[in-house]
Amino acid sequence: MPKRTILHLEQLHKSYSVEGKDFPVLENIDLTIKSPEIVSIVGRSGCGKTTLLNVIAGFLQPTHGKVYLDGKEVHANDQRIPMIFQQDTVFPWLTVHKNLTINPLVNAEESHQWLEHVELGEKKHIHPKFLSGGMRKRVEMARAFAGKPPMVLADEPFGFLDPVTKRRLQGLLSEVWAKQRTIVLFSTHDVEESLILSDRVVVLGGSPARIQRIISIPFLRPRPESLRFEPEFQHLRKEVEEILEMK
Amino acid sequence: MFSNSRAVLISIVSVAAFYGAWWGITALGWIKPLLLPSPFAVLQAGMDLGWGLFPHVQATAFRILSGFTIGAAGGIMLGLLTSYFPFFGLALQPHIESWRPVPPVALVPFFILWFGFSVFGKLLLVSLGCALILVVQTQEAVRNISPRYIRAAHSLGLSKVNVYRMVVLPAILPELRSGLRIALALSVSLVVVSEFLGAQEGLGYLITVAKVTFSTPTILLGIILLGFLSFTFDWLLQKGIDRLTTWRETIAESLE
Repeated sequence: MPKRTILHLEQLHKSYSVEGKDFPVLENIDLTIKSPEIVSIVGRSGCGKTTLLNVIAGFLQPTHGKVYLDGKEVHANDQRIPMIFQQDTVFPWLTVHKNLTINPLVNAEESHQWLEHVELGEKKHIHPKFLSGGMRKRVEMARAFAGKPPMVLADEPFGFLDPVTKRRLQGLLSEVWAKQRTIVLFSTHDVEESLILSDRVVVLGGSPARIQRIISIPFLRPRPESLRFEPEFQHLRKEVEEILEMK
Repeated sequence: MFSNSRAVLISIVSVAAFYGAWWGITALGWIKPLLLPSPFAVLQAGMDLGWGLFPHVQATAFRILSGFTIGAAGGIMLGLLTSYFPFFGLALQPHIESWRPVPPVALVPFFILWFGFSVFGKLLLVSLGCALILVVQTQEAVRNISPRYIRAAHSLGLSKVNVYRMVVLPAILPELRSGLRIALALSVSLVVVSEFLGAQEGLGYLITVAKVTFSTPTILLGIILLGFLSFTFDWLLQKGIDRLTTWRETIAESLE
């Protein structure tokens, strides 16, 4: 049994300072996540999801409060937490394979295995310009998980993809997660996506954003596509949407 | 787009048309041969010099290539250092900005005083000119890198040195292409200027000597050979950079 990872957010506040004025974006964010768990942050566009992920990743410093990963505080540019971004961040100057091995913790053999796993084994030695948007996302996914990190962050990872590709990659994400058993924390504005993937849904809303509610998702894994049409799923979807509309 | 062979054909026809027009003008006798010698007179001047031309071409080519290489490498390195060490960058910036507008040729009297007519002084002049272009070009290129690549690299646990080596350097390369080409053209002119002022060989020296004897065909020969050298080096430079940046999506590819 591998060691459990614990992410703990303690009283996080984040304000942006624009021309001397403070604009609070996040307020009183308290959350604890233990591996293996997939947690999604759901909120409307511009509500502060990306800011929250950037604070957790250490790209931004919180105004107050702290982020702990396994009891250690996460600092700016901490190098423990890989992130999958909404935009394409596959390095175009490196081959698919080298995009994985650029991570100092990933060797050639591991890169090979991971690329097989995301069905890109044959594209190993080509440059990303020959890949579709969905394939590039798969590279990013493999790259994020390949170094066996304690946690993977994803900021609207499938936001730019078509519905079919999106569903395929959602399935792949849960597969990869089941293999790795890490913490996955991702943001989305797609309520269905959050329900089909996560164990808990954190609904963010208000201005500044606070946690409106945390909803546990009872469905067993693996979750079939048909789950989307179950009454219980639809009921939960409505519940989340109602909270989102309130604020 | 044009196929490679067609592109070459277009260039050849264009050059032939230029020389044809030049020959036409001189053959019609509109201009005195002293003011504009015919292309054949220039060719004759070249044949008269024969192998004697070779050391001049060689000296100039060597000065251009070495001055450009040292200056470009130094400029890129310095540009990267100013962004890697912000304190160093801040300290150096006023010097770069105040020296940049000064034409390197203005420094020639001092270079002659300090280094005489040595090769070292010439190379230093050329390198300095190239470096000042590339420092700024590198700084701008680094500024233009999409922050998402830097964040992705940090999130994967790359050290700062590796972020520069594996992300920043390849990312700026396409943007350095224009700066390198401009610097190469500048190094050709700086080499010629330095040869005008004092040299025992080189195409600039050849032109200076021909000037004294009013040998206009030889002057034009020197100019044409400089153009040829410049064209060849620029072509090689472009091919080299294209080879290093095959990963790029180019306009030619997306219009096909």
